Amino acid sequence: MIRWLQCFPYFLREALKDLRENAGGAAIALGTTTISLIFLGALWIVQLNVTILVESWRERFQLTIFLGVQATAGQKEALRKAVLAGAGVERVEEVDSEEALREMKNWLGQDADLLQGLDGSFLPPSFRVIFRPGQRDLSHVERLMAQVRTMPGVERTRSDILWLRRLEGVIRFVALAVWTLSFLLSLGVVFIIGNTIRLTLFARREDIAIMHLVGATDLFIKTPYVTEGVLCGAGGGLLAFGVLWGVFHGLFQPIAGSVTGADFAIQAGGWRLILGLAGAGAALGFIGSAVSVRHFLRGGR
Amino acid sequence: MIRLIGVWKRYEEGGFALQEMNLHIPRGEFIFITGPSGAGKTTLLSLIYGAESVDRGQIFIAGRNITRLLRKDLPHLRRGIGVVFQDFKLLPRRTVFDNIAFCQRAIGVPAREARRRVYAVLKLVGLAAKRNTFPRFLSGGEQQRVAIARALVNRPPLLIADEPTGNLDQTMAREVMDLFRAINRMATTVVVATHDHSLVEYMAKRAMRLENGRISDGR
Ligand SMILES: Nc1ncnc2c1ncn2[C@@H]1O[C@H](COP(=O)(O)OP(=O)(O)OP(=O)(O)O)[C@@H](O)[C@H]1O
Ligand SMILES: [Mg+2]
Repeated sequence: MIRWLQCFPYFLREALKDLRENAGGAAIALGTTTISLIFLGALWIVQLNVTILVESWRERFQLTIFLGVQATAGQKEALRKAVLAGAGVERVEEVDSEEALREMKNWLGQDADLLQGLDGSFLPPSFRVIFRPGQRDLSHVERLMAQVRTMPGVERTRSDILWLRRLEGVIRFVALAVWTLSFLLSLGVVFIIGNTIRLTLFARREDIAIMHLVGATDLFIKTPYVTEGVLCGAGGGLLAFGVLWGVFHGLFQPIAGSVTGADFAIQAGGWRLILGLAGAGAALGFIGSAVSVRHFLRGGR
Repeated sequence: MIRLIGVWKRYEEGGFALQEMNLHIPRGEFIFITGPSGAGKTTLLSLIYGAESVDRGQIFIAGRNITRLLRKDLPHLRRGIGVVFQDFKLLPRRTVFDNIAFCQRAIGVPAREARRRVYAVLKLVGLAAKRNTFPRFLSGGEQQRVAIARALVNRPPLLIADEPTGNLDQTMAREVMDLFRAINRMATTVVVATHDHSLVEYMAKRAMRLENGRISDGR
């Protein structure tokens, strides 16, 4: 093992020499790996942003419990206790009529003068239930809704539950699609790099035979070729990041910024994306080349 | 050092290459294996360094039964054996120096140490000046000497040479033999397969004759 580490510069040099000698094949492998990883990275960005978007929607999404105008302080207190005891509930905000009016004016913006001269008494007071992050799912909301609906002082409840249900369907679909496509793309990368290494091994079969005859261990024989695969994969990952970064900052962000406004800023994933792509590339290159090398060494002694 | 007990070897197509071979080569010995073409000399040598496997019988090298060797133990056996192949097996895309250095690096010898050893051994076979030449630009004799240098570079306790003088003129052949003799004096066991009877006479060492896969005359 120590020997192996000490020899790493040698393995690296052999791998680079191989890549240089087989520049055409290496370029094709690198190119296709890069393209696959660009798609992979793009999928990640999509998923990341769908997740962020959905979370921000959930954030805004609450359960609102409208009270009767004549609800007593005792009823309110009981209701508050019941709600706070509900699963996943983070806090409850009480919105009285005046507050509701202010919010409505705010929401109407320039058209707020429609409400000119009205006081808030036509707006019922309400409780706004905010769920804890990570617990903003349907079952909690539905259970609580059913529970409080019949309590005294409650007039009605409202929640964008159908919306949320649809949203969760979308999330699940996106996740499934991203995973499936990622898997297929990864398989492609493994295959491409594995095949390139297979050809290299074939071109190097004499060297490998001699290595065997002079007593090189399998580990020593394998390492340069696996290193080659890892370099190819990691290189493809970095190139893919470069392309995505360029497209994202040079092209996409200015356009998207003007469309979505301040409401929602699309994110690229930054460092995690670099590490993710380079790491994924390296791992896939490792798998592809390791499989090829193993297969090759199994073939003969 | 080497002991064969009732060894049989048959290639997939064709008859027996070796039949009921019994042989003992003590440590430190210098032995010639002679015999006509196709007698089984190369086969015998390749059984010893584990490039072929026996069909029946046992082979012991330095006390270890190599017919029971696992694949992962093979490298260890081979590091102790220097082999000069009949067809040299030089790598066409590497220079003379790299052909030998490559084999050193492949078994984990550090770069500086490998360089030192390769220079020393190239000087020994008189090829230091050709170190940056590619094998295809060398004469047959020069290629043969590169192959010999590669076999010697590890200072193996056992040296096996298959026709190491086949491409050399008599003067050069005798020089190589003198080199082998010197190595043999440094406690290396030497096994040489050859057609060349004048060499055997020149060296006056033990010789064993193979014919049709059997020992026909062993002294
Ligand atoms: N790889 C192989 N596959 C099938 N038969 C083989 C193989 N190698 C050798 N043989 C056969 O085994 C027998 C012994 O061959 P071997 O190479 O050991 O002879 P040799 O004594 O080394 O001959 P030479 O002096 O010509 O080198 C021959 O009949 C040969 O045809
Ligand atoms: Mg032969």
